[in-house]
Amino acid sequence: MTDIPASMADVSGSGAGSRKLLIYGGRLALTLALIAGWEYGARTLGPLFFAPPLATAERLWALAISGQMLADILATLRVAVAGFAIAGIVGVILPFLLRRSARATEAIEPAVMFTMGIPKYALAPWLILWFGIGDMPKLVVVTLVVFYIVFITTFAGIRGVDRRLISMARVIGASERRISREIIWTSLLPFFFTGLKIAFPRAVSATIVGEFLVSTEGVGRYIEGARQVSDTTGVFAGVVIALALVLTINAILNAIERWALRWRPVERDMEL
Amino acid sequence: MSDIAAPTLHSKRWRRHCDHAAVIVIILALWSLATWRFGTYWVSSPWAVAIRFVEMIASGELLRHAGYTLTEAAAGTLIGGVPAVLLPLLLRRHPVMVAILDPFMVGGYGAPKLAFAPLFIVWFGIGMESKIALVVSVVFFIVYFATLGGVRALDAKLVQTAQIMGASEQQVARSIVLPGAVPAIFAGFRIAVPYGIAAAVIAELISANRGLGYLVQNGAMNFDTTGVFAAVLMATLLVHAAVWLMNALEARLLRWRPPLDPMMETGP
Repeated sequence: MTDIPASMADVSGSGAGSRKLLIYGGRLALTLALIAGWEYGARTLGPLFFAPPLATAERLWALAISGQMLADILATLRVAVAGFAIAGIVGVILPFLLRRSARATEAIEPAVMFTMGIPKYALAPWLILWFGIGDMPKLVVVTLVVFYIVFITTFAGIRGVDRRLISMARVIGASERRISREIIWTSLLPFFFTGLKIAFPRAVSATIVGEFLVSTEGVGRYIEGARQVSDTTGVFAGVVIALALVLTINAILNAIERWALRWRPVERDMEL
Repeated sequence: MSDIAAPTLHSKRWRRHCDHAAVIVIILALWSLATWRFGTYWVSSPWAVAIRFVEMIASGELLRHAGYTLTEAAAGTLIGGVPAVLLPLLLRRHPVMVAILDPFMVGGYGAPKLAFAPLFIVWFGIGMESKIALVVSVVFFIVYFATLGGVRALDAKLVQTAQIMGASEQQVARSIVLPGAVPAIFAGFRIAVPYGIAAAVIAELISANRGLGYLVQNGAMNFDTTGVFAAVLMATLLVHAAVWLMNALEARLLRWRPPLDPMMETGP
């Protein structure tokens, strides 16, 4: 009698077809309403506040044709991927090392928790003093941002491994190393992907913020440069690029996750 | 693993405190080593940072700037958080609406909100409003999905029982759905609030004339690393204070029930 399905987006059962139609129709209407609102905002507030959708699209096209869009995206991805790789490797290996010693884990836990609260971006101006305006300050910030996410999720994953599986493997004579690889790593994969899915978009986002503060190239540089000369169309176009970039990355990561975890029967509650 | 012969609970705790102290000493030693190696111009010493921190607290400067940042974060958390909690509660009986909104919410959740900071500065100027807007955009989606998860995880039997006993829709929402979703809502806020504070600081770094982010930027421009570190320290303490407050508030609101698994679903 009460209509609280397990998942509200669930559209099965009677009248599923018309319901589906309603949902897709609603989404389309909402999309059109958002674009109309954007256009209306541009007309009432003026192009200095709201770049019209058409002007933004034209700018995006011009950026795509001239190749600047690709150059900016590659510059941003270069830093994001490098920082992500460093932080990802350290953030996965460290919990595996700490697994062996409960004492060391307990000893560093408060320090890790405290430093996790540092707004890492706030270190950027100081890092700029150190490393100049190249990739380095951004790289350090991205690495720090990603490290904590990967470290914490990997750690939670290792702690969440079913102890019985490990005992069982020991009984049938598996080596410690084999246990690490076969049981812990496999059990960890969902957590690893959760961490990855949170961390990689965060890395791109961190790079863009880093580029706001200092840089000579990249998507963030384009947005902030446009803002400083009151080129609102440029700001809009840049934000659209940043949005599309991150959402595309999200979609790719989701697809990879589904593929890598296809052996799992159902999604368990593994979200952090 | 058990090379220490069965330590008592007391000695175990004592050992843990010693370990924690040792870690702090090691960190401070490394920091001092860096100061000694590179000079105070590049890496301020821990002692100088502590003194500056106390000085700036005493002069009221640090607290004033922290107050601005805190106001921005708090206003943004309220403006973004309240609708984010209400929306899933109101839409509980309208799954089609939730399904329509879903791709937009997932997009908003995944969107790099921090990258929107210059846009908000264009719209709202370099004052507090642009920072509040950024915090709102960060907080809203996190809390929305946390609350939605809590509402969905609701025990349908409780609702049915209440309805059989003649509870109105409003009573069900207030007495069953909202209290049941509180842990999930707080799980969302626990993630959203530190992120919100960081967002306020970032917006201040980009363009502002007050707040902790401004203090950091100003310190860096004057090559005053001690000032930078003191401001970063203050921001860190602010984050921890906010998290502590969230936990205290949740503990108070959930007095009536036994503690649950702290890991809650918080995102799509």
